[in-house]
Amino acid sequence: MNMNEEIDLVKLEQATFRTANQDGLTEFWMGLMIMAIGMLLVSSSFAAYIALIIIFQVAVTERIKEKYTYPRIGRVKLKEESEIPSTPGWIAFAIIAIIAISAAVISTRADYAVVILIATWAPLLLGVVFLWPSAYLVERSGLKRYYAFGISTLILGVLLFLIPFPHPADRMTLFMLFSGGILTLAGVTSMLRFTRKYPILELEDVGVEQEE
Amino acid sequence: MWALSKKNEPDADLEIDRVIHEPSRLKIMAQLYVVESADYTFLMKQLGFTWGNLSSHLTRLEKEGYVLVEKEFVDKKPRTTLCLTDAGRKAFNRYRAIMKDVIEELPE
Repeated sequence: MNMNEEIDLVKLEQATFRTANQDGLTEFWMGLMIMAIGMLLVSSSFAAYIALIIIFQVAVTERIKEKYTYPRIGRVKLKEESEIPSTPGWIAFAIIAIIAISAAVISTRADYAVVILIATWAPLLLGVVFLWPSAYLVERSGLKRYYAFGISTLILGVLLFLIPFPHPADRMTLFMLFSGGILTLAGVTSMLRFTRKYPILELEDVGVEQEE
Repeated sequence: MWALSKKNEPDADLEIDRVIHEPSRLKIMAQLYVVESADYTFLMKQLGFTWGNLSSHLTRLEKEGYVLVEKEFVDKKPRTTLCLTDAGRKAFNRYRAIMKDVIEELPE
């Protein structure tokens, strides 16, 4: 970078985001959350599981990062990143949770025709909703491959909308399990690749000054 | 002219900040500009600097009041957090504005 090169802060910010999130933890937690919401449609006892994820996600993530991420790539706090999850991705999950819980509540009280209508359209609607976090990740990271998640969930939503199911709620459960599973798998893969790519930096690797 | 007054003397308001202008320090300033804070390890890996190189440039930037260096011990381990100060952000923005003018005024 010198006077003849323009300082591209957007690209720099995207590169920083990529480095900071390459441990796969974000995808892992998002995937778990989506699968748990999907299972809520099968059994209401999964509400406790969702509550546990929400309560302990930040603390557990920080502990994992302390052990695996920070010793490898260091510590960075990105802009607009707060201790409480509030990024558009998490807002999208809140919307999904509200839709899923509302659908579950309505299904116990509303007319059966309404329930069928909700259960039929929900995967398609969520397929569209999932384009949002996907586009957000593309914007933050500069990596077009994040569109793959949004597009694949949209295709999944369309397919589940078109395929007839014996029980309408199965569509939604399958959609959430598949899309959550894809994310969780992507997170675990990233995590494995990350731990292999970056060895843990010892104090002597980074300089004796750190021991002061 | 971007850095000269009407009397053909350097204009203090438009003069290039030589502390930031040094390529390594410019990289550090730009990196810290796009984050809230980072530690030594992250900057070293992200910028490809050695510990000594990074340390010497950060000392200069800290002396200039552009970078805040916070040292603490967490679980008996040292942790150094670095971030740009308000003065650092202003100086960096000013540097970018001046450099933009310089580049725009260059002949084709």
